[in-house]
Amino acid sequence: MIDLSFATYYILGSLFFASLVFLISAGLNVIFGVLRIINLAHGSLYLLGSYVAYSLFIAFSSLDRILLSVTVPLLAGLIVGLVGIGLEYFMRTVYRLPIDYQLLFTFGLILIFADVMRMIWGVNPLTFGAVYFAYGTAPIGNLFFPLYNIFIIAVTLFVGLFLWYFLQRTRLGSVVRAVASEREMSSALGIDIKRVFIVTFLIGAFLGGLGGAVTVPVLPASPGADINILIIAFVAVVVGGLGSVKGAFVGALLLSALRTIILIVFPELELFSLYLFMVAVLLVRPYGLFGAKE
Amino acid sequence: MSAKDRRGFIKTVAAGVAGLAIGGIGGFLASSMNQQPTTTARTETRTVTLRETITQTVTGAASPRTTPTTPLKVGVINPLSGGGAPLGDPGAKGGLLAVELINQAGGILGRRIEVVGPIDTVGLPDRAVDAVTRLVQQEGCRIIIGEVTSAAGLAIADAADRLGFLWMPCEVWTPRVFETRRKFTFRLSWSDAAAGVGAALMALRIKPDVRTIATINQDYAHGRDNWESFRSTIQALKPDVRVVEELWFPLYGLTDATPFITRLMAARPDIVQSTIWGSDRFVFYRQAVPAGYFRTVLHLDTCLTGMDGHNRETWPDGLYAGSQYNRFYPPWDLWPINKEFNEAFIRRFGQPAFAEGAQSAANMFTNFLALKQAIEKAAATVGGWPEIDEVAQAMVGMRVIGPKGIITIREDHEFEGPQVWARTKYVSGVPYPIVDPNEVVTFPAELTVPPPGVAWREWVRNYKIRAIT
Amino acid sequence: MTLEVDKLSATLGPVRVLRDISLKVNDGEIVALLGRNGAGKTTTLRTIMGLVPATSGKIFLDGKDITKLPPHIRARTGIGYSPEDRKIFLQHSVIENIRIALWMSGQNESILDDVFDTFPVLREMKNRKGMYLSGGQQKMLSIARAMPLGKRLLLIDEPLEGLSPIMVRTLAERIKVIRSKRGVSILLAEANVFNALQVADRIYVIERGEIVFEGSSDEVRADENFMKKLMEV
Repeated sequence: MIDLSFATYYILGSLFFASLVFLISAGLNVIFGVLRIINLAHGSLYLLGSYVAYSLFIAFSSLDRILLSVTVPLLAGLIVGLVGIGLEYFMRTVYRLPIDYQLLFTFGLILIFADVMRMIWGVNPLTFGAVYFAYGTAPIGNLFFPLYNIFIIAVTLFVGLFLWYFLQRTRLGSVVRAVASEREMSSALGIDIKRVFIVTFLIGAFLGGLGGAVTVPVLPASPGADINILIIAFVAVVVGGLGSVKGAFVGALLLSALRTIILIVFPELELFSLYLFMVAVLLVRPYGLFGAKE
Repeated sequence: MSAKDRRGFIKTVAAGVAGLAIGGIGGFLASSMNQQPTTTARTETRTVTLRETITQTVTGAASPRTTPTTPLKVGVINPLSGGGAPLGDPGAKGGLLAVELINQAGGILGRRIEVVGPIDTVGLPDRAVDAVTRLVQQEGCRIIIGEVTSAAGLAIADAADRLGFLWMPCEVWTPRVFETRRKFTFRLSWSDAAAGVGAALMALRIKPDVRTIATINQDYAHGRDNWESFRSTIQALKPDVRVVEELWFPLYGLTDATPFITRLMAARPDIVQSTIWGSDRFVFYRQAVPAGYFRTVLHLDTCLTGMDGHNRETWPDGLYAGSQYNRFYPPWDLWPINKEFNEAFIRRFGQPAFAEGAQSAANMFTNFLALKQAIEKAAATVGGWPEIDEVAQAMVGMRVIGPKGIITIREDHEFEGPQVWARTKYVSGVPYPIVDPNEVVTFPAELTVPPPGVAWREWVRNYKIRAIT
Repeated sequence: MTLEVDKLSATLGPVRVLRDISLKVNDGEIVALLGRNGAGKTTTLRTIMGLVPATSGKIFLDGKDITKLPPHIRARTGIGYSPEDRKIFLQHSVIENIRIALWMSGQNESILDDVFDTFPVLREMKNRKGMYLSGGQQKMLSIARAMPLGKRLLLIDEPLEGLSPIMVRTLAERIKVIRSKRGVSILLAEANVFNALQVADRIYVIERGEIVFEGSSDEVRADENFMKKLMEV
């Protein structure tokens, strides 16, 4: 029933979904890893990235679409990263409070972000398809796979490599990992924790914004997208292990492969199967596949 | 049947309009008031309004009641955030516009309307019930207007009879709303049952030899009921039609549509029925266009809520779609009141009721027109300001003329109006798709709306094309 | 005088853990803070490091008041800290652990030779992750990591605890080498009087958050009754 071209299509589609999940969850994970805060507003940063990118695409729509597809997400990510720095400033009030306060606080941020974005960009789904279409399609059998999806897969690989290089091979990355594993000891070794927090938020928000910006040609920016995206990212992060970028990567791949299989067999169970998988992983490994015990 | 029907429809509409002096929406309101038998016991002087051009006479009623001098409080609810906002927000604006115009023209029987809200329900049942309970118990509202999602709508309909408030939803298409007899709920919007029947008729028109059908929909009451009505109707008319694929995804939950698109294409159905709305539709169409889906699959969109804001990337050329009223413009001359309404909306809010929300704005606007008309009708009967159940009684059988055309409120509180189905296309000079005037079909209400008191599921299952009288 | 602590008090939650503690560490001196578990040794070192806020009293490093400075500034002023539970960065390799302190101290890589000469075993496993080291190796790494920042003062919490007698002698030797080679002052916390006497020039005894004795190691060795009393610790 499923011939080779369909199989290829499904595999590429699965990688595409895994890319979406990773792009969204990476920033959430980086911030949790270092600050031990579950930033529920991460979905808002994602959506903000989508909206900002939409505006940038419109503003520069006369430029080459392929060029835009690379530059606009970087710029949008940077802008959202700066917003993230501002966010970090307000987050300081809850660093020392119990987790329920942190969750309430970041949930409040979701509502504030949603209102502000509604005031600026309205409620209609906004999307910039010209970029999506500029990439064209690749024929697979009698199907056509959109090449922009391949571009998103490539961006994700690049983001993954960048994160790996940054965390494992740079001085700042080493410091960030040190703060993630032993916060107090790091300060006793001369590390300015506050600055590391700012850098972390910059990176986390940048990744969220970049994710939103890269996807806006496919997924419209629309009220409610913040929460929907957050749920998927959260599942991936919990499966992979909170605070582990590698976990987010593997979690995204596993989740997506599972989703594709479910979609072939029982399409109604799409989201349900993801939750079920999350519960199953948590039963076997309460800290996720790559999470470290506290 | 198409060309003939269309001419017939326009003729009917024209006849309705002929009696009206069209001079802007205010003029329309004023002139529609002229038609009303008016009865008020008020004598106080008023500030100069459009309405003062109308002579009010007090007819001798048995027990004249005084009209309260306080404004009439009307609660407005709608999803203003979350995935329902693209419909809820313009919907609320359509309601506010109606209130402003009615107040400018002197209110209802001289009584101003005061909107409490709009209150955000996020389209969720619990939030919606919270909102209406607060509106009734704390604000003293006995009339509440709005709500988009079927999930929230079912909960509000229950609350309306329990708490005793008149409720008119903004959308809420599920036929389940009227599976229970409702005292206070009036829906001036088509049901999924009617939409599904219309879709089946349209499917047979564009593909008379249809043998296989498929669907992709959001997995909740609206998607399920719409599909059930479509499938049952088409199978009643052509028993050999087979379902080859059914795909469901959670409301607002579509991200990567490629697996769904692949499955639908692999199933090779003659027609795919779909009633996806909101951002999910953007996601699906965006990804389906380059995949070649629309080139190989005949896709029937049964949820045409608006098209401006769409373009070739989110709305394919030549897509067949259906709507509960002829809201299409340009050409504007199809239904002038709709034109006036849209122009008034743009004047008031600086931009059109874009894309998904155009119909919601018209629905909410019509709700207020109907409310005004029902209160005035009831007042004429009872001789003074009516109680809420008297207003509800007055609603039944009422004909309402508004941006949606001429609609009738039936004894079971459902709306009865013609459906408009069409092929959409792009023309130069208009950035969004419009209806191809050569391919418009209207189905009269008798063909598509289950009669009062008949269970919709039974009706569609035994559907027959009846002679239209 | 490298370190002067003047009437320092600190609380942990509602409990007052340190009561008006005063102590001094002279230039190039090794001082042991002796006391049983819960006496306040660790809190003293943590308060000097800035990890526990002082409720009253003052801390001077080279005569400069550092009481209000955040921990990372104190560290960069020249204090190296090796906590009791080592707090190695488990995912970092040995050399990455040390490098972090190196970067923060603003010194160049040459100090690495100094560190590895002091702890040759660490040089052999410099690319091994912290999580794969034995307890004793982690302890050494923790001290080694404190060296780059500890230009003026090293705070070492129970360096010799739980080690075999041979390891105690070796590590005590190393600590003295650090002092002589790098000319730093060292304040260490110890529960065991014999271990303390192996390295310290001077000893403070702390009980229930108060300094109850101060004297040179020789004085302590000479007083047999006092030694016995301390051994009961």
